[in-house]
Amino acid sequence: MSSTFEHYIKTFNEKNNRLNLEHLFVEDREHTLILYLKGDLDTNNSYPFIDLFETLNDITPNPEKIVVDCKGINYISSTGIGSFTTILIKCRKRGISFFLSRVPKKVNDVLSMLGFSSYFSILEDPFAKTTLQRDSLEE
Amino acid sequence: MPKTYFHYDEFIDWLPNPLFIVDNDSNIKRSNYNAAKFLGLSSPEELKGKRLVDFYRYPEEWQILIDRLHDEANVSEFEVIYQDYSEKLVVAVESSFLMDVGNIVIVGRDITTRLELENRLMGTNMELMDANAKLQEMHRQLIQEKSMASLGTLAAGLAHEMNNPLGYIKSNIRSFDEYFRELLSYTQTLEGIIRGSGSDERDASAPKKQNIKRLRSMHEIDQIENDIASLISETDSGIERIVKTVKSLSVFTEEGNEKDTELSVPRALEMAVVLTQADNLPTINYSAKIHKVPPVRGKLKELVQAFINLLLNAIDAAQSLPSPEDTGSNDGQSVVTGRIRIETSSDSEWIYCNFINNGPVIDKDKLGRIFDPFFTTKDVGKGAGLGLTAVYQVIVYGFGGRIDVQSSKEETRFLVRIPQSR
Repeated sequence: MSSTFEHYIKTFNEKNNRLNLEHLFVEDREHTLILYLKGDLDTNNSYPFIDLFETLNDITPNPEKIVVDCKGINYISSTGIGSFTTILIKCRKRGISFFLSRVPKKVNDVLSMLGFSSYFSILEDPFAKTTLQRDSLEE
Repeated sequence: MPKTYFHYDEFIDWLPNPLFIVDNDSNIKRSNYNAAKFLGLSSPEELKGKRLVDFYRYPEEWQILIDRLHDEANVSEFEVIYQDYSEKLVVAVESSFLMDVGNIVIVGRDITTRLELENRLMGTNMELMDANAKLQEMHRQLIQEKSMASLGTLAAGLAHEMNNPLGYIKSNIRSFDEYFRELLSYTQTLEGIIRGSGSDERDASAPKKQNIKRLRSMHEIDQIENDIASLISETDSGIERIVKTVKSLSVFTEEGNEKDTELSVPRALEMAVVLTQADNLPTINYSAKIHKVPPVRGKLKELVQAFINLLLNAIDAAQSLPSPEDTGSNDGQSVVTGRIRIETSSDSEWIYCNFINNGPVIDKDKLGRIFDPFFTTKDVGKGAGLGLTAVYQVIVYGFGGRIDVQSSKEETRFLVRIPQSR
């Protein structure tokens, strides 16, 4: 699929012992990439996490939809939540639909506190069927 | 020494940051004025006997902090959301370390205001992004409307001008066919009478027989009788084709604000083929494998326009191949060198439609830009570079589909896929 992307994840996991990334490509109609986060997402690893999305171009076929599954998040700081916003912007610029799934209460609360809830589409299941995000943009 | 101790204690009391000294269970043993203020209280005395974790919005984070302290002895940044007595949420970054007597020192820093400012900036960013998306959408519509408007005006004019003459030409040619058959039958009967006894030529006199034969030969009557029938048949099928073309053009004459409806991809393809004459060009070998596929949802006018652009693009590419005349390798006869093939298929979710031509290979570095506005691989003045942009906009944004291009020495293939109507 993508040597650079997979290599980046491997290196990320070696360097960041508090956060582990796992990924899964789903060859559905939208070429979905699901990223599973396990551990703590905070100031120490948010920026390398964001940089992972710079390697998306290397994935063939390009994903049209990315789901970040948050079930395994143990702790998240505002920088971690901010990384979701940055990634959302990056995805939108590339025309990729971005979703969060199985979001912990804290992430939900903080997104509401910051007034960002309306920007994120949150799924109860990373495999849930979705409509393309551009539909919501056009509404 | 007592004097120094007093100063140290005073320093803690008036430290500008909230400070807590707690045990492993977060029982507050000592705090300062800013700690009290931070939690909505007026004096550190009010915090005595309370647990710090009770102010945590997410108490489970206390154990995470303790685990980190046990791992690293000090934690320079740990962010916590506090809920004070007035129910106000405040976000703080804590620096913590273990004291040798088993207590933990926690120094906080209120980052609520900073976060609010950052988030306001991020919010503005998001709004800008949405505004940008809307601008792009408007740009797309402008391109679309511009090309549709000019084609629509032309089509409306053509359809209007051609419809009435076509009606009477078609009617006249049928009348002409009937009249011709009547005249033929009349002439044949007349010939029989002149020959002497109806249709039996053996009874006719030799001079009369000779005269009729000579006249028929002089006016090439046998040839005319044979030709006229095929001429009428050819004209009739030509008129049928024009009628079909005008009918296909009528899709562009509809008023704007066309609503999304369920559409047949083969029908849109057939209209595009008729309008571009792709199947009727002397230099192009055209073939199609169009299967019955489930409907898609969108605007017929847009889909036909997109298919027309793809076909025109394929025709241009296939016709740009050097002909045998150019290379001096034929004997002057017209030879078909261009090939266009259309294929449709479907699966449970998508309708696939491939436009294949044997035109020149498109370089890899150009493939990525082929749908960009004003990008063209054609010679200067031969293409505005908006045709494929409009196709992309219609297929991707109008129908929620995808379009990809592959190009090799053998063929260039535009792969269109459109989601089935649900």
